Amino acid sequence: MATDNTATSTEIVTGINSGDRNFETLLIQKYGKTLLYILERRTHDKDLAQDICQETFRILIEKFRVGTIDEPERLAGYIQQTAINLLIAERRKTQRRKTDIDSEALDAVSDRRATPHDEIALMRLRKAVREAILALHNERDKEILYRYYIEEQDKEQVCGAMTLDFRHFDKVISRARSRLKAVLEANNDDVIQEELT
Amino acid sequence: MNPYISSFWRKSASSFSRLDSLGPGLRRGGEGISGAFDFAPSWFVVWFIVMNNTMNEQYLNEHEVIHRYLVDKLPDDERDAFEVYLLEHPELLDEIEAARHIQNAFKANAGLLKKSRFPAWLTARSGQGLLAAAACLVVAVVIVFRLPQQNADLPLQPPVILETLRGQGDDIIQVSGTPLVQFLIDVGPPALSEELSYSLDIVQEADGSTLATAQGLHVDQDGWLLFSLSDQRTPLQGLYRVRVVQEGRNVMVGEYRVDFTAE
Repeated sequence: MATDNTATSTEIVTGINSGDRNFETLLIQKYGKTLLYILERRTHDKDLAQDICQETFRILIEKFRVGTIDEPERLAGYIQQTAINLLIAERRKTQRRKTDIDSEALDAVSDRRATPHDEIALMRLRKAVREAILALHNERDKEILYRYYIEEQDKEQVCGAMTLDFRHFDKVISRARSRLKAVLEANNDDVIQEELT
Repeated sequence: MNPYISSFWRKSASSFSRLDSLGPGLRRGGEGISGAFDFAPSWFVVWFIVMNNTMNEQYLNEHEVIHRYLVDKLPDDERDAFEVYLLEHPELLDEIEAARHIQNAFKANAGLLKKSRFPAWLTARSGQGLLAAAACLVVAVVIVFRLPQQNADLPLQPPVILETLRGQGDDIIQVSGTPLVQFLIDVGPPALSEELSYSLDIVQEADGSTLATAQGLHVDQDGWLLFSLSDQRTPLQGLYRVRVVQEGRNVMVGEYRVDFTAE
């Protein structure tokens, strides 16, 4: 049975149930970072997100130590549901709970502070976006980007407001992104270029 | 698709279609899964996605899930389904963060994108706006055969779209009963196509006679090649082949079979 990130959800649940502490750490390593991200998006409060994330894993680990779940292959859904239930409950009360899970592992996955490298990459991105916008000569491209990225309208809203059908939207946004990507290619941020692809 | 679910959906579609009429919010797509989902209310689509584990890359792209997640516009059920998918695919976190950074970078430059109060050609100092406006008029090539001066009076039908990227194979496109037909041809990715020129000819399949030809066509600002056919004098009837060729390299971009029938 694998004890690294290739372990399946069923193996993790079974492993914890068999008393192997490695699988408890693996559970947090595999899902902790994503769950924390999800909770931060929902709460806009890093401390609260961290508390709920920690509490979620405490509950799950305690449950798996003494039993299992019906469909361990759906562990991700179980984790999400547990966390959201806790969040709902937390919003009803402010008392925080103390836990005894592997806090070190959780701290490791939650350490997502921006590094100086990240800061430089973001500055370069802002500059590249500025150059890309200045290179746009088509007013409609600008309007679509404005509506999409700044006013945060979705495709349906943009199409409705600009009397575009979805095919047109795809074409225009694709062309605008292509132009932006051409500017960004001068930089080396592969992840952002992939997002634009 | 699971045939049982497919069958179940077909049986259930009519009962859901009434919910669909309540508004666009209940009509959040499902085309990525099946065309039958056009009528599906969002909760059904999300239920289907969760129960059948069909949220996938195609669904994410077609429904802009990441963008809508970032701007908090996913309905609760769809957000739940996406979060479960995210837990199973943590590699998506980097993509989401990249999208968020791009969005923030745009916001940091919002002033550059804000719509000007006047048309571009009035405000552009260098005259580029004026040139762009003129170019739009030029590149939206309309080829009107016969009596072009009368076309303004003709009833406009929705344009017939001829696609090359998504493939129409040997399908015959039926066009009937309209004196003025507009065609939109997808000639490829806009970034590549907008610098190129194209020629087009329309040939009757039965006898190989050429109905019309045109050279030096350019895509419009949306990347479409646009042309119109009018049959006011002689009704268009029969099977035709529309061929589009990239000029210079003489590369065939697309060939479409169009069947004109009287109404």
